[in-house]
Amino acid sequence: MKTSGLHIRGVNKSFADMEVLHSISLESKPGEFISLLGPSGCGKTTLLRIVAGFERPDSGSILIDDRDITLSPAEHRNMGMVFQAYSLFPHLTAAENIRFGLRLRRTPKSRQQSIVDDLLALAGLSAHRDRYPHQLSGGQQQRVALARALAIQPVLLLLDEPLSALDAKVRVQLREEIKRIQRETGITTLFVTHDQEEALSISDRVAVMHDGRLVQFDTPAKIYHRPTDSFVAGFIGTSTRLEGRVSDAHNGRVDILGISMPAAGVQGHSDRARVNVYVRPEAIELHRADTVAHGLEGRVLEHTFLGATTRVQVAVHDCVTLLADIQSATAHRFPVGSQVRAAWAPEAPRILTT
Amino acid sequence: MKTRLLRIAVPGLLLGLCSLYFLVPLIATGVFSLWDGADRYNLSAYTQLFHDPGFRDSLLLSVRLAVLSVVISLILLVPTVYWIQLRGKRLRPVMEFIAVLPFVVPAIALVEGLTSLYTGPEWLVGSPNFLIVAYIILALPYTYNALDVGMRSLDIRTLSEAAQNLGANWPTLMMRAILPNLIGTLVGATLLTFAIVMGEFTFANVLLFNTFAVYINYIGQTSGTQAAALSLLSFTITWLAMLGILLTGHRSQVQLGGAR
Repeated sequence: MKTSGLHIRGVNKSFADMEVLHSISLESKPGEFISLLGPSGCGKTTLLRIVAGFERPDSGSILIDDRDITLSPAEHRNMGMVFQAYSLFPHLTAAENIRFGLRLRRTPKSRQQSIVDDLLALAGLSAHRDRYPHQLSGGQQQRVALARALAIQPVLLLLDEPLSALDAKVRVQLREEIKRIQRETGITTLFVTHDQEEALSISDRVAVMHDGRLVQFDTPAKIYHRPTDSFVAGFIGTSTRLEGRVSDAHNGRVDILGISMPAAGVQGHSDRARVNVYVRPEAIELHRADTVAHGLEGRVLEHTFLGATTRVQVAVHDCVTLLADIQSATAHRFPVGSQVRAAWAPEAPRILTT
Repeated sequence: MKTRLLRIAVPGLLLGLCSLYFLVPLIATGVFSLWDGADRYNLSAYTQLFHDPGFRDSLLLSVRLAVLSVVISLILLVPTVYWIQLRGKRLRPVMEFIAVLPFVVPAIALVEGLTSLYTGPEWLVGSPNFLIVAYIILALPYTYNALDVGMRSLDIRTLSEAAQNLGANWPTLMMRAILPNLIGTLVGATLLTFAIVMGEFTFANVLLFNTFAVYINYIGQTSGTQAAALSLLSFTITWLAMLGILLTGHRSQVQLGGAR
């Protein structure tokens, strides 16, 4: 399958008086799997619909392999799309749905047949070829929709929250299948989701959107470990935000609630600068207060058993609640009400200016 | 035991009474249509009717008007209702208001309004074709509502976008993605319009066109048994239309996707 690169350049869009996209620019490499991630109303679906040709941007442009398609109608863009709602044509069987786009392109019948057979096999639905949509489960319908989108050999695959209507187990199975199929076909893919686990697990790069703006566009690991924006730091995963002041930028120290804590990330900030310190629960080590002298002292408020780990809530100075994930086997050492000290490695916290 | 008996007997009795209420007049009409004076019963009323050129002409005229009314009203309304569903939902109350107007305005007032309003070429205004305008308006509540309900049961937007995305332009997506899922709705709207046109009397009578309903009225004034035979024929046409709606409604009911 031919792979193409997508280039979104300075796209703006408003509905009535509401601006929903502010100067979005994004470039994908051919064959890349990109997720648009953000909370409801952040503009990710609008951006996808602009790429698909269902909406026109107020300004900016969409390019495929340097070819400007901003004004070309949806039916001429040759993009495959899987929708959030079940979108199979109810009067056609699974095989006929997949064949729909091929018939419009007047692909020779023998070729149609082989493409449909291949895609049904790829989607694991060969036994369901003659079933109508209402005879298929939700997951099977979305797999047929994916096969239908791929049948036309699109330049770009667009996935608009295709897993959101499915139950949790099917979602995980199907997202792995989507990734496998995308890898096998090598098609450039734009995937819209509000589920960060989904986005982080299957994407080559993730574009995090907030209030119509693209706030960070990077690999899943960097988005998770190195957020460059306070929204991303708060939105992706779980972390505790602590307000601090840089006490020694050169040696990587920051004062939090009057305690000097290590933070390699403050290097480059000026001394006395006010910063936000984001710490992941898994990066925090807990010690009983009477055993160590360093770290933020607090009182254990609650335990939440998560299986291998237990999440402990610690009230620091009764004004901040710190979350720490510890091995469940050691949780008994920190009973509710006990005094503890929380510490972390210098490179663990993410420092962002306030 | 007594309660169970009552539970079966009461609905049965009500059903029997209702059946009698509807069937007795029909049976009486049927018997009367076969009466040929004294104690003679035969099909002479039907034979005379079928040999009367007025019967054939009026029936053919009504069928032609019904077919044209159906075709034109579907050509006008299918894209309109589709567009309202897709982009003009705010216009739905306006359309619903327009669609109930034929119920509110008396037929005689409609005729008067139409004749005052419409001027045009002889082939339209001076011929029975003029009735098509009236019949489309008269059938509007049924046609509009049938199409509206049918299209609302589909996710028109998603299906349209899916078809467009696969390369279909507007005419293609209508013909291959939307209309095949509305067969039941279209047949329903067609048969309702057909039944209305076949039985419509006021417009044709006032405008002096000899349609099937006008012919029935004329025969009713001249021959009782033929009028009874015609009434039964007219009923049969309506029943067949209703039966068609029921059958197509059951057979082609669109089953939308969703988790099984």
